[in-house]
Amino acid sequence: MALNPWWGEVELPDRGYRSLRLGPMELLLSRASGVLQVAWRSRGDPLSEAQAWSVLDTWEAPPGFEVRRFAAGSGSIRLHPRLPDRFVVARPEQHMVVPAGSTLVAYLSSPLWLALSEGDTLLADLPVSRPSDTWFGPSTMEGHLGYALRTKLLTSLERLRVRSHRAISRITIENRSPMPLGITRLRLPMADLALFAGATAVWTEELKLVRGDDGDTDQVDIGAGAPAEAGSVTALASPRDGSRQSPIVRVFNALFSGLER
Amino acid sequence: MSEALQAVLEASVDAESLAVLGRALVLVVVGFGAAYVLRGVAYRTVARVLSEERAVLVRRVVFYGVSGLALASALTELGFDLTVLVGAAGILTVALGFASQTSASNIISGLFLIGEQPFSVGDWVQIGTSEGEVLAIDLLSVKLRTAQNLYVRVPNETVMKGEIVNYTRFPIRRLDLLVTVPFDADLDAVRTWLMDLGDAHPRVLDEPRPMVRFTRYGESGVDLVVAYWVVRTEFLDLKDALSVAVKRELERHGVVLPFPHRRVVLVDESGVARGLLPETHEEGS
Repeated sequence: MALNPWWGEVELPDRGYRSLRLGPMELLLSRASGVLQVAWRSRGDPLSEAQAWSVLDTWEAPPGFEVRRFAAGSGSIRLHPRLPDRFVVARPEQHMVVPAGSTLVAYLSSPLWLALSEGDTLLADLPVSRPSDTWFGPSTMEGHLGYALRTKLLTSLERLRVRSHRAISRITIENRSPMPLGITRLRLPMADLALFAGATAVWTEELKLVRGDDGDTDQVDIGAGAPAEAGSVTALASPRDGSRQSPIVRVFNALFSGLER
Repeated sequence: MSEALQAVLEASVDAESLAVLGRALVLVVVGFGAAYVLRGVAYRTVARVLSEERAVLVRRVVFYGVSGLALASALTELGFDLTVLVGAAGILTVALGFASQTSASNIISGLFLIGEQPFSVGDWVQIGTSEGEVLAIDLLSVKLRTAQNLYVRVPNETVMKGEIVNYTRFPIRRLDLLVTVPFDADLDAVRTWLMDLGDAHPRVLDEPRPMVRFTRYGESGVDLVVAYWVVRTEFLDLKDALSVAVKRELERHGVVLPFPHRRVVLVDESGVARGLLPETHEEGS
């Protein structure tokens, strides 16, 4: 099925009230008397396929919505997708083992964030479905806060449920060590990845996780672009983490953070 | 002739005294100026690698050390014999030691406190019965600001002797909720509901996993501990929200949190039960 884009420019004239249903998210955009109101809520199935624009007849946001108001400038707002603002932690569907000297390819679906901009000004950056927080580190005293994904790592792309509000990542796990590598959780640096629109799905940059031949060090390598499965793509968003300067920096920044031991 | 010589000698003595006095003054002024400058340099240098408290300590040591040296040099210039002062210092130390045992104890405790660093400025701690944000760690005392916006001064000796709880040392905390469910509740189902509640809440950490543990058979029901891990900064908000959510979740499944109750059996003199009072609240029984 062809990808149905929800991003792009939205014309919102004075006294224009519009609503976007995107998966579990309901987004209300209203403009009146020089004020832009953005209201949203997210509930229900995070894998919902719903996607539709509609016109509202009122400015008021129903109860249960979070509301922000801005001084309105032009009558045009840009919606654009972004990847999560922290790393995500994913589990394999079943216990996954990469034999010594082998390589395994896995796929993962992550929720997107919906960003609203007016000109160059970012107005809001909202998760379409907010994942739970999680902790990733060697102990409860040391580690980092990320998002826990309910979706699982799958070894087959066909089994992934493709949605326009989710991004697919292709992850290559290479085990160069002489011991089999059991994977229970994977930490993936989503804020470091760029986003692309393919013909049928939204894709992140390709990721390669390498367990070193000493069996103790991990390396995360971010591929330059979308994977081959994405086909012909167009760039949607650059990485959130602007500190990415070169592949070398990227790799070494991510060292030791890839695979759980 | 002799009068003229005396006048010249007096004048030269006065001039020499003035010169000595001038040099001593210069030593004091330059010394204190140097101490002022050096303390700033030392603080900035040390603050890059050490904590704020240690940097402040180094700043004070540098300032008082350099100032003391300048003062000693000035006194020597004025002709004072400092070896006498050193001897007197021993006696003075003993005298001061007796007179200021508490202060000395606080100062020494303060040095240990700064060295050990059980907390830093800005941390939220509990020291004995006082709980609050650490405003300052000084040589004599620790200053706290409580949740009620009260200023509390805790002597360093008390801090060192007592138990310290630092709530902000680690980034995540376990939130324990004590829940009592009726004896006839299905404990496996209760455990599943409360685990699912934690899993569904976006602010409850997925890892470490939520936990529901049996504590004991209480007077009114089975006591459980429901443990959710949360980010430290959200602890209080989530404690409130999750306490309500747990109660609602149990009620949604028809489990009502039990209140303390007693069953009273009336027995006559021969020991035969004659009646049963209806179950009632503890206050009413």
